[in-house]
Amino acid sequence: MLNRLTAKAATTDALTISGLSVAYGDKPALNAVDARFSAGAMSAIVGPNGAGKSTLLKAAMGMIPSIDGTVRFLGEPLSAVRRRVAYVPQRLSVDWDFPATVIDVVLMGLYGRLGAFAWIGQKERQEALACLKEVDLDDLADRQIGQLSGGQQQRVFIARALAQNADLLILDEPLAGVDAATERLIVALLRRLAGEGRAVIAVHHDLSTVREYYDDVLILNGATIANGSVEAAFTEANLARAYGGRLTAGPLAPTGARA
Amino acid sequence: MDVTAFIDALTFQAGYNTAIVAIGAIFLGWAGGTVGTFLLLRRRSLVSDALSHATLPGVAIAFLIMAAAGGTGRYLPGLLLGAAASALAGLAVVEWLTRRTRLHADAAIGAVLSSFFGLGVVLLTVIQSAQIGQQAGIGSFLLGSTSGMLRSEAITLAALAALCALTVVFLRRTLTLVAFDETFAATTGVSIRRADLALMLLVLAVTVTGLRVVGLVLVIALVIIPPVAARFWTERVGRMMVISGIIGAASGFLGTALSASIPDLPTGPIIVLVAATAFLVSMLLAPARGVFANLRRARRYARAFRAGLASGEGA
Repeated sequence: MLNRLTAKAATTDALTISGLSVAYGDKPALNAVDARFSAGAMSAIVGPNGAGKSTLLKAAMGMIPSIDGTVRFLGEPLSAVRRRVAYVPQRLSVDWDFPATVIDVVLMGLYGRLGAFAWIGQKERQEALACLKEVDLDDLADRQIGQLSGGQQQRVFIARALAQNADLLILDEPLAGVDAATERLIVALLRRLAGEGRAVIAVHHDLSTVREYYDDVLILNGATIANGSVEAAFTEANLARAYGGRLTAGPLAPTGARA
Repeated sequence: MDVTAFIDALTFQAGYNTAIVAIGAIFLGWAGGTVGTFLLLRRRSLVSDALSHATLPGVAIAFLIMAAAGGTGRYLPGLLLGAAASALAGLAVVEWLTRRTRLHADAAIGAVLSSFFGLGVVLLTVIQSAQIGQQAGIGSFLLGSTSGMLRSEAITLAALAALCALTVVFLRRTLTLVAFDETFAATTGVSIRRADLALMLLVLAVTVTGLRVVGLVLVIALVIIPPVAARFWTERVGRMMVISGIIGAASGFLGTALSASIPDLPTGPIIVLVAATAFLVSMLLAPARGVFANLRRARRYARAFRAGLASGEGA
């Protein structure tokens, strides 16, 4: 299996994590995690609470220190390709009562390209508005962000990632606490981005929709339980290993769609 | 209060020195309001309290060193350098405590603030009882004073303050990004530690610059009150920065003018009271987020809602 993946790596691996270990003080959080994520695919990271899903993303992006392991984005260290990687944090990680409008937040996605001094003019505003249109929020461009619903806030974050025009999108629970309509809109958008050849990697919680939404999956529980196509890796046995006895077979059982 | 003196001060007619001091206070208020905007948005306002109180031992030690070296001990740049050094030490201790222990920032700030201030008061008492150097005026670092301020001092302070404010204007995008969403900022390559350090150094510079005029007990008001007041007027960071700077500058100006017309009143508390008035007015009357505006909006909505029901929806 490793050989097959290595051969594939040269051309299509968007994110490669090898032997990544992280500890908080003397408490291990990730133990030698290996994972690869392909370009042109939508990948889910699933695992029980405390499995280290957010930790994996943050450590991979260098936001928290790792004690061992290497991470390659598009075959390079992150510092070399930072502009080609967009990260969407958890919606509740920020204070939405911040003095900013919807379009201000989307424009933040352009800061990396514009630098500290470049003037933000009509061209940039149009660009940001186009991104807002993608998530169906262009009507609310000048709304204060504190007035948005949870689903709208999540879409603003995704519009900001679109503004970065990245080849690799990493999203920490993009579907947490959003309504069904928003979920459908976000998934359709992410699938389209993957269809354009970009890599989309999302921490995901609802096991019942993994088969429907994703191409690939990483099942994590402090260490890699399984990683590969949903078909091959997202099995009852692997899920049982990750979630222990806490899972009843019912809602997870492969549905008729698989047959 | 001497009304003529007040009007003279307001119109820069009260003598060259008073005018220079007023200009210094205007720049100081502008810098405080501008830097403070990002300090508030980053939720670090109280760090400035620890920082300002931690300046006192540095002022006292610098005074002792300069007096021992044969001077009067009152050379302002020397005192400010001492203030900056010990404030930096206080900041480092707060930072170290929050990173290496499980203490929360507020506890670390409280511990550092009181320890450093205690040490400073002891040193100050020693200086005063031992009759070292020319200590008259060293006490004015507590509450601030513009009397006897040299022209060169006022010009230095104005220049320093302007430099701080301009630096913030240049750094505004990075500071906004870090204040709103540090996780995202980090992924775009912004160094959070460096951005926070820059912000803290700016606060330090404003604090030390304002020490002589406003005094260390109240200098934090310059970085806290104007942005808090400005927040009521707007929902945009850029505008908040400008409004906060204006409120700070106006407070500095009015405060020095008032204190020039009332003998023996310390300048610091007056500037702060003017700023506090601006805060009160903003909180109550600002159309964007003020208390009355919110009430009016809620009442108007309820009325329209009931009118809608009455006009037949309910039938």
